[in-house]
Amino acid sequence: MKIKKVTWNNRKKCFSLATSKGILEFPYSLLHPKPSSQDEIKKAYSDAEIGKEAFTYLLQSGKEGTVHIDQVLEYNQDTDYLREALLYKLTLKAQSLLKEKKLSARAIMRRMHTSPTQFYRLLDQTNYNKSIDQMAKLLAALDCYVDVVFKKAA
Amino acid sequence: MSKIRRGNHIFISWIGDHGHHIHIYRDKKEVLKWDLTEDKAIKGKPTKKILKLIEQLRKENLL
Repeated sequence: MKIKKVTWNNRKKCFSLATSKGILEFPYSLLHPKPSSQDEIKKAYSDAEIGKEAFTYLLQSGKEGTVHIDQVLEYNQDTDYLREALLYKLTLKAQSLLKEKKLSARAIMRRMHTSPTQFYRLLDQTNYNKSIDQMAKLLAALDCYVDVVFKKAA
Repeated sequence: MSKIRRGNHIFISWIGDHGHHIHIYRDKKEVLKWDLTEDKAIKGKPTKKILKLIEQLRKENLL
């Protein structure tokens, strides 16, 4: 996702980013280096060097910081970002269970009634063209049942 | 975090709720998103050169 425009508000102490998903906010409190009343933000821009997938800000002291769009999406609890993070976690769990268990890959495929191509696709943590449902099925075949934990926002 | 330039690549690392990540760009395009906690690729395929550069940055305490 590209950042179209970056603006900042010293009263609200946050950045506003114009993206294809609308306006996303990012607070100063999560920045490093942090701006202060003595060291305010001088300039902020969508960074072309990073394909406009991050923004860079410059403080009056000359210090510079860069924030990637993923950090902003995580702060704004973007559903697509959270889905990918969940799929990644489930895949890593399936990979570690497969190493732990003495069951062969063939046996798991038979349990799942699936093809080797589909099986290895599910085990690839860089592939996000799979559903949480398919991952739950794979984990169940590895004798691991997925449960849901509801957490209150911090 | 600030950008780190090494060997024609730009590195941006950050720590979030889902771990410690690093994004690697070359020619304005993301070539790799790497999980520094698990040492696995999140997106893209790592090359030996990039893995060497990550290791170098770790040794220099820049990540």
